[in-house]
Amino acid sequence: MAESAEEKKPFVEKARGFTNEWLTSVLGGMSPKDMRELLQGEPPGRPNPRYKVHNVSFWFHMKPRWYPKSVTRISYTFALGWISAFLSIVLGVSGFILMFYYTPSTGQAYGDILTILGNVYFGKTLRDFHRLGAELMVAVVMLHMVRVYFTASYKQPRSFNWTVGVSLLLVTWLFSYSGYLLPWDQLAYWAVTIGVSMASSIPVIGDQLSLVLLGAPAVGQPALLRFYALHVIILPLALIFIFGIHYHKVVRQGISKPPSVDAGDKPDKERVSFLPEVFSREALWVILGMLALFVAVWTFFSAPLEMHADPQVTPLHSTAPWYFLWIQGLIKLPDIFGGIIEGKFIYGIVIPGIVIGLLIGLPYLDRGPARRWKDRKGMVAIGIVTIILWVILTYMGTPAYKAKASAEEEIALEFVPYDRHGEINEVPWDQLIDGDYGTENFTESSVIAVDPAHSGSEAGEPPEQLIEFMGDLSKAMEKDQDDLPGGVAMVSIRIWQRELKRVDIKITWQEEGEEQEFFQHTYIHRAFAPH
Amino acid sequence: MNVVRNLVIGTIAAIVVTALLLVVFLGEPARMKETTNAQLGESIARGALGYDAYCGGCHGQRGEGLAGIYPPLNVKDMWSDREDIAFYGTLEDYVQLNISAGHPASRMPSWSVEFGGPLREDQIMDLTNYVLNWQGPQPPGVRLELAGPEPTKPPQGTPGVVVTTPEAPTGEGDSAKGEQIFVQSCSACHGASAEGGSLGPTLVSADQAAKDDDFFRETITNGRPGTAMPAWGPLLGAQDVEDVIAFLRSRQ
Repeated sequence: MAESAEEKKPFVEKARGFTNEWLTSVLGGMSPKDMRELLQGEPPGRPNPRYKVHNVSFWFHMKPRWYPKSVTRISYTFALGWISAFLSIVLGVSGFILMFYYTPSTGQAYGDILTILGNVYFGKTLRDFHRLGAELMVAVVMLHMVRVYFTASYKQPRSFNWTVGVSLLLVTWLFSYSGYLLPWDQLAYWAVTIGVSMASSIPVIGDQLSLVLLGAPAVGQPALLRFYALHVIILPLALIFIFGIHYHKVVRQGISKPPSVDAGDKPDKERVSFLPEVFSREALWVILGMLALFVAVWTFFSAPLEMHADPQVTPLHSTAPWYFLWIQGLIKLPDIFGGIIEGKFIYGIVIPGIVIGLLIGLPYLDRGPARRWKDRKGMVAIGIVTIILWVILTYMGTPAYKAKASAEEEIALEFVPYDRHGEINEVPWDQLIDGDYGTENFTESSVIAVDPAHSGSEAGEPPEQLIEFMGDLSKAMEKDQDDLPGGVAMVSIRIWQRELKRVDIKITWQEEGEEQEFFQHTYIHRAFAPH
Repeated sequence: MNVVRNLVIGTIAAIVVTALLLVVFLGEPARMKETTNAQLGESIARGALGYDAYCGGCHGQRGEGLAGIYPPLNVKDMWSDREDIAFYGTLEDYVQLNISAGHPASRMPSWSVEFGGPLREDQIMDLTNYVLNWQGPQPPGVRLELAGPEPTKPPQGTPGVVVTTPEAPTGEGDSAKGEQIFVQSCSACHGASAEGGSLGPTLVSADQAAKDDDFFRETITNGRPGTAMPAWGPLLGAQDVEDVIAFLRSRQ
């Protein structure tokens, strides 16, 4: 036995040597001993073996070896740039998987979305994930820009990188906007129709431009294919290319130091190494970020899906995506050129174009070296005013501002809409009791009077939500007394077919001495009614 | 920055994410089934709206048809003839085909855009799902009279409504009454103000205005062979026909 142990020894030693060598190359130049020390939180030896990794490993060479401590403070950068990079990877992966289930064809696209939701494991999770990621991405990229503006990080030597960043913002917008069309639902169809109509308002080249974008005079199959190609090939390539430049500059020039540190008010000697401090923190963020996204899509976030796109049916309100509402708000402003030049062109193309031009040119217009707020009060004021204007214009872009249809249509849309998003859709199935209910003299007993046998969801209980629905309807009618003098709404519920009920709304009011009437009806199936 | 703390929290969070994924995975079959059911329900509800716009004018709001002219759709053996013609597809395919391509040798027009009609494939699917929802037992409490407020009253001629027998008109046509009749009986095809619709041509063009009353009287009463225009004689009284003509003249 002893003999064999002696024989084995060189082999064990050899194996250990080989393993060490192999681990060292896998660990990017760190020996297993260095790694153990790193994980145990011990200080590095000299020369720092953890810096070697940045020379050896491809992925680590992209990251700086250390950061000045002042720039790693979360309250300085809020890690917004990091988050947008994280989100673009999340979006890339989830989008890549979604591509396997999607056909960019007007006949199939909507059905494919239904299949993803109803017939694919984690299909709804994936779609919600992609949609939530996209919304967050736009928000985070814009906030990142706001942060860089207010800390004046765009100044020399980072002027060029600011302009690169603005073009990344444009790419992000285009990404989100082109993705908007792909589900081929009403929301998508009309949002893109409105957007492209702005492009076609450009004098001389407008029609040609819209033809290039859509491949046809209206949004249809060629447009869907073009937006798809844009979304899955052209924009990803553009993003990788531009992001590469942006990130390279960030690493080369370093993250700009906080203005107070830059001005010498505060000392900045301390360094934080990437390995292990920043690395462990970023790994933690990745996992927490995934956890947060998963929890969001499994609890409250659900990507919207309207009805199938229908060129014949214009929705009462078609809104742009939220980040373009400010342009929609601009368009609602009164026409200043008396119709000689289209308002749509001025407000939809020229002004946004000027805004983006100013953004791109910002570091070349504001050239002073001052970075602290007290030294650049004018720029801080301009920034704050711009944000306030943006918020106001965004509000003006929503249907709440000056886009109201007639009062009776609004009420019908809110309470008994075609598309399952109205108040009636919140009334449980069992409480949709066959009968006619009027807002005039409506009381709880008028529901029960219709059919005492069906007095509620459970025997004997009043149908609370139906009563609440009628109460809200009465209030809405009262609120619109000015538009609908003497207005009364009648709601009729009928059992219609197997698991299907029909709800009619009739609104009557007096106008110019005559009685006016408005009707709308919808159907509710047990499978999508609440229980 | 506490490296060890980061790694510990990160590991715990990773375990939580994995566990949550597993839990959601186990619930996925039930969720998918529920979603598919809800999607079918939504399709039926959309089909019902489409039916009101395109089909109810002839086949009746409740699918009860029009005796001798338009077959009822709410009966069991409606689709049994597919076996006679060696149709090997499913019942769903058959209904879908009938709506898409129309029914040869009958007044059923082709509805699919593929065959020159106004409806897309998904709309045909919705209609199919709605029509097939009449197959099988229906819930108690279905009332034949129509839901709700007055203007959604059934078009005349549906069962339970007294049919007036043709007789000589009692006076001049009344365009206001004619409008009411038009909205109930004609607007589904010819549009709400006779401007033409998906199925029926415009009745207000100069061409139509040039035609005399007898032409309209004949067409309304006896229909137009070879088109989808049915004979309304059995359903409308002679006075009603006069009223409709008066209404059309007022629009022309």
